[in-house]
Amino acid sequence: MNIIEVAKKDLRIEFRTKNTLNTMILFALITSLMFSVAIPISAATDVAPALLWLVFLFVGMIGYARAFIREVELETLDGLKLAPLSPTDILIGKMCYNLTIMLLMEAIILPIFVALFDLNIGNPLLAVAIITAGNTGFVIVASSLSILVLKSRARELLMPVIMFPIIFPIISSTIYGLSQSIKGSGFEDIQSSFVLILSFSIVMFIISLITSDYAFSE
Amino acid sequence: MKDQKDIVLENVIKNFGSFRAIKGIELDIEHNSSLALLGPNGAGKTTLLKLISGMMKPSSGKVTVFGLEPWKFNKELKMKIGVVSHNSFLYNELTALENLMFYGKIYKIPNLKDRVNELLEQVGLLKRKHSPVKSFSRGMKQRLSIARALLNNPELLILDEPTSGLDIVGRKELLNYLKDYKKGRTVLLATHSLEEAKICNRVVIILGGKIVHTSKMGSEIERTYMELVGGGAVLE
Repeated sequence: MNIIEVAKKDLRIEFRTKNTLNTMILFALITSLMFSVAIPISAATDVAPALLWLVFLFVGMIGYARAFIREVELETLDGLKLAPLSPTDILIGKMCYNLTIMLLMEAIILPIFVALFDLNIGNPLLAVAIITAGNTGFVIVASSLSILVLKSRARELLMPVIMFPIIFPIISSTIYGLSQSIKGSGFEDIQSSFVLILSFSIVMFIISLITSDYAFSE
Repeated sequence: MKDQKDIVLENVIKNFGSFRAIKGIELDIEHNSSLALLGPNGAGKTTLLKLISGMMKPSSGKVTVFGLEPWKFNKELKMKIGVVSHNSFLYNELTALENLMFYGKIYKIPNLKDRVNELLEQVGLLKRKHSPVKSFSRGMKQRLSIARALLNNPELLILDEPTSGLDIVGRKELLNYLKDYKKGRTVLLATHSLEEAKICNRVVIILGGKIVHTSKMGSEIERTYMELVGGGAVLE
């Protein structure tokens, strides 16, 4: 499977250099710590979902776009384009890599954040599920958009500008779902959040598949 | 098979914004032949090779390789082409072995480990196969890049200044290797070196994005090239 080979190659490089991972972890720890110091414990339950998602958002901005940008900077993307890899193979391979990094970040950040804010989560399984769904949607959107800005010289500056408005439905649904799961609500209460995240992610994924040919052509 | 054209370019134009890098090139390359694209820096050789290898789409005109348009993704076509460029397309953090294994798996090369070791032996890097590419010299990277391009035993080998970064011995070895390798294959070589161009049986001189001379390789090519390029040919 070419997709797996692309993702495996990226993971091997990342775990060897740890360039992106170290920055992501450090950034997440610093922002979580700053938020926990700045926000009074009494308000923690109300604002924690939004702050946690902010951490994921900033960390994702550092990491997810790098998967493509690194290939452009090192001029290895041309090597992938010359190989018998379709643009969708490359795109989905990068998404798989980003998803793995995202799950790793989630496993590191979530317990630290909960401990720092002394959060008492009513429905922890649902909280993890909604965060994972939101992050998966985020990875899909970020990966899809990062190939569209590859040709721009100011690609790293352009990414947040075009991504934040587009990703808003995922942000708001995840924050709502997370708030409800902290209060102890059940799946049926936040079903609409899951549906919105899923449908939005599918639409973005299909758009990225359609545009990948254009994005990789010169 | 003799008259079969592996590569056909019909009035190919490539623009970069308002700059026209390739100005209506017509060219065809026969099956199992070798063609040298000779020209000074900035003549349009690399752009032409990028158009033929499918890395770029022409602004107008048509490029066909083995009857297919290379910029449109086609797995079978990619399997038939090998490219050596200025750029190595190698990952610095991976070892020589890991780089070739990665590309080899994508090309689905049978007995991949044996093939990789065979190529590393040929390019003189077998002893350094576990070293990361970032520790390699420019010449070693270029040799590894050649091994990468030959992994799939390509029917069409595209070489863009393949000896850049190689020392005299490495350069001579590569040219000798290519002389043997081109038998039974189609080779397209872009160079500004007449010595390198001589391994091909046909030569095209390109200047300012246009073909200004086409002929069989012969002793008179040096004089022609000097007249056109050294003699102050106008670069539009």
